[in-house]
Amino acid sequence: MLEAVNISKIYGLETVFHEVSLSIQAGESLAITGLSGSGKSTLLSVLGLLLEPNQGKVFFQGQNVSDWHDNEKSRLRNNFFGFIFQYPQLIGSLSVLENILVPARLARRANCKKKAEEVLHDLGMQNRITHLPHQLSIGQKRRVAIARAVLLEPLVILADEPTNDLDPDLAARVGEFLFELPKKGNALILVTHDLSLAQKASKVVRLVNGKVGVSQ
Amino acid sequence: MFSLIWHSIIRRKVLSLSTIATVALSTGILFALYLLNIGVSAGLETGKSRLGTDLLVVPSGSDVNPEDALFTGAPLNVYMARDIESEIKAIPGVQHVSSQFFTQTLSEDCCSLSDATRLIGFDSDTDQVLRAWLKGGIKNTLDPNEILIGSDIQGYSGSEAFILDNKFVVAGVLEPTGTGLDYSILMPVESARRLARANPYLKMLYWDKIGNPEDLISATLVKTDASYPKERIAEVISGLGGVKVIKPSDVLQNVKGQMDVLFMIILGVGLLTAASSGFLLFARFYALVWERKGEWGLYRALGATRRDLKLLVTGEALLLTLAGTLAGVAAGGVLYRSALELLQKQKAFPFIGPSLVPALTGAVMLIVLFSLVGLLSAWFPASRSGRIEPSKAMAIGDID
Repeated sequence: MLEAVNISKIYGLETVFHEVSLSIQAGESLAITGLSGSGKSTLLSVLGLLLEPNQGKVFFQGQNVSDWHDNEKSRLRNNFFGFIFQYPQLIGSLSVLENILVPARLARRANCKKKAEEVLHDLGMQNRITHLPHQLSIGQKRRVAIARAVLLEPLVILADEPTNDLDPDLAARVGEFLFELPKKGNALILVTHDLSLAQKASKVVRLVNGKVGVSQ
Repeated sequence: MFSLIWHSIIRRKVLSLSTIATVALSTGILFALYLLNIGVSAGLETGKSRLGTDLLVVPSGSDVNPEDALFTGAPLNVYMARDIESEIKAIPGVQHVSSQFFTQTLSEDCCSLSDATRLIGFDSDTDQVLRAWLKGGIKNTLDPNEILIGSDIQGYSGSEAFILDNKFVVAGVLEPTGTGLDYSILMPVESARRLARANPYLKMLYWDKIGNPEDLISATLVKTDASYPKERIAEVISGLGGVKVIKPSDVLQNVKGQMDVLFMIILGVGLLTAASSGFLLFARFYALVWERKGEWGLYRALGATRRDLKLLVTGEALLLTLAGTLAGVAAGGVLYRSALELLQKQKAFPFIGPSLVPALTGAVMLIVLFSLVGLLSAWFPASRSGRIEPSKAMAIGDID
């Protein structure tokens, strides 16, 4: 479904990663691990078409999407990708429900409210629908961010350290929710330094010195 | 998209309201100016075509202000000997004369008017001026108990009016002239004299001192032969003594000059305010794009195109300017009434209130103009927002 072939990312004189190749199919999960600063998040951004690789290509459903026009990439992200960022990235003035509906608004899709409420219910957030982000704990914010990522039922979920700052119980619950997604046919790519979380993935890659060091 | 724009406006209430207020102020000034300008222009144009007289002769001893005499309906109790009419008629170049006798109602005496109003007695046999202003269907000669009313006096043909305890029937309503006739009541000259003579208040003030109303006139309207210079005829009339000659066209020209200066000043202020609104909008949206990089980045990451971001910024600008112009048009209407009242207290000038169509046209033009200003002001910042990379979203926490 999503494949990266020999992709490299270079900032000035610094090579973040070099000629990395990996792929993921529907129903699979891929964990990217590595030390802090090893380029995991940058790799996720390139896979999610948020960043251009300096070299190599990214294929989605067999098509080389690296060369697509910026607008086409935006539409692709909106329709097929769901992002869970390292930080929850909620808009302070919007309620929980409104935050979740942002991708739907950008896609000009009406009638997503019911679906949003269902997702919030699945994440145990049904009583926080009208709350503003500052009224939520970090764990609750993360769940809102996850709800936003899965609202439009994207084919690929890209999650960057989704269990950061969470207590072990909550981290386990979030992990459980995420790893349910491949069972429904989604592809899940997550960046984490939590090895116990990574081990639940069907594939694990480790970035070492800008190269894929270990593959499972 | 609209929801995102709306939330952006709501979450910056003070900034949004101040932007709306600035746009409203500019729009309000320009709209009020526009209404005043078309009212005065219409008044001047109509006055020019409908004053109908080349020279207006009034007593010289009285303190007659030409603008008051021509453009207000305030009482003007000035009198001169009736014989002057025949003397003027004899002057070469004078084509036609018709005299009028002015008196007045008392406060709250007539026609729902709270202030005393000018009553004009005119000679329907010689008058050539009023006929031009009469709406169709009015007979040429009025009965003694019939009156004509100016367009700004409440009443309609067939309605009754009590003036100085006498019952009259409204025989017709004059077309708007933009002059004092719009606020005056006209009746046969003999009726006016009869009313004036019978009123003890006026008797004590005037008739006991200056003579019988039957021997007096207040003004003579003079039509000149086009082949004679008006200025020369005016000099000859002035030479008769005891009279002052007013040239309505000169008065109109003078008023126009004064109004032009006033409107230029107000227009300057309005345009400066409009320009400052443009700068304010530019500053606001430039700052908005700069401060919200994280938010734009998030939208881009979640699938917004560059065009979507431009739409968010320009949409917000458009909504704010629309709200501002709508508020400004409403405020402009109020400002127009207040300014008109203030100006008319300071100076008499011809004025015909704008009708609905030009007023609406002006409002729509201002709305379109300010919407364009809003869009242009936001265009550059909007273009900047489109350049923000989606990867910006990766490194930021919550977005306020």
